[in-house]
Amino acid sequence: MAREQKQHRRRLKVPATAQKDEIIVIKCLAEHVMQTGRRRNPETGELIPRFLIERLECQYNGKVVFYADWFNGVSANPYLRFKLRAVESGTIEIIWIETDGTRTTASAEIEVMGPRVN
Amino acid sequence: MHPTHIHRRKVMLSAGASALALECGPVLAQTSESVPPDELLATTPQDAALIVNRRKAEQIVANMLKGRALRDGLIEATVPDIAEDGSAVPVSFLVNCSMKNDDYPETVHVIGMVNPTPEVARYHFTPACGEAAVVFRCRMHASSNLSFVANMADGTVGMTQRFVSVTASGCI
Repeated sequence: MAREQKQHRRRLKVPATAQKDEIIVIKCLAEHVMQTGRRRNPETGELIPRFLIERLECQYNGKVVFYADWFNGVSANPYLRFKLRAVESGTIEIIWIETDGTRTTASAEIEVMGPRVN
Repeated sequence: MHPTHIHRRKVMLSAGASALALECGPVLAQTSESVPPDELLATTPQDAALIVNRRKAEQIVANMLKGRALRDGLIEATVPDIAEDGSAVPVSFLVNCSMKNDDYPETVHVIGMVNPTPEVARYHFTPACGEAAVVFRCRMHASSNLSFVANMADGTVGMTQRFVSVTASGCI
C-alpha cells in the first residue's frame, strides 16, 4: 500500500512571488515507472503492458497555457522544467494524465506584484 | 547529416565487405545489386533493426517538415556529448522567438533517430509561456541524433539535430 502511494507522488515547484511580466520557471516531477510496453517480465517472459504518463497539462488560473504529449521515449520519473509569464496572482496547476485516464494534480499559489514604483 | 562515427563504421565495414568480396567475389557482387547498401553493411540483426528505426524516424521528420525551408538558428538544443545511461538523458531546448502574435512555436517535437518509437515528446506552447524553453529527460536506444523540430504558428519551421553517444542503451 505504501508502495502504491509512493508511485503517485507528484511534486511542483513555483516561485511564491514574482513581478508582473516576469518570466518564471516551473519545475515538476512525477514518480512513475513509465512502462514502455517493450519490457518483459524476467520470470515469465511476458510483455509488461504499456503504462505511461501520456499527457501533462499546465493550467494558469484555469486556462491551459502549456501541455506536453509524452511517448515511450520519456524517462522514468519524468522531470520537466518550463517557463511561464507571470501576469496575475492565482493558481498554477499541473495535471498528469496516465494511459488509463487517471488524472493526478499538483497546484501552487503565486502572488504577482505590480511594477515597482520608485 | 550523418554522425561521423557511423561514417567510420561504414568505412570499416565496407573495407571488411570488400575483403570478403575478394574472397568469394561473384556471390557478394550479385547480392549488392538487389540489396540496399545499408542492409548489406549491417552485420548483426541489432544493426539491421537500427537501420529500420532510422528510416522510420527520417520518414517521420520528413512528414513534419513537409518540404518547407528551414529557419536558421530557430531552435537551440543542449544535449550531453556522452550519455552514460540511455534511460535518462538530460535534454533541453530553447526556441529563439518573440512569443508575440504569430511568432511562437505551436509544437516542438523531439525525435530520437534510432529509437523503436522515434517520437519522444511533443510540447505545445502558447504566447502565455513567455519563453519556449523546456528541460526534460529522455530515453535513447543507441548512439544517434536527437532531432528537434519547431512548428511555428505562422507556418515556418526550424530543425536542429544533435548527436549523443549512448554508453548503455535505454532499453526502450
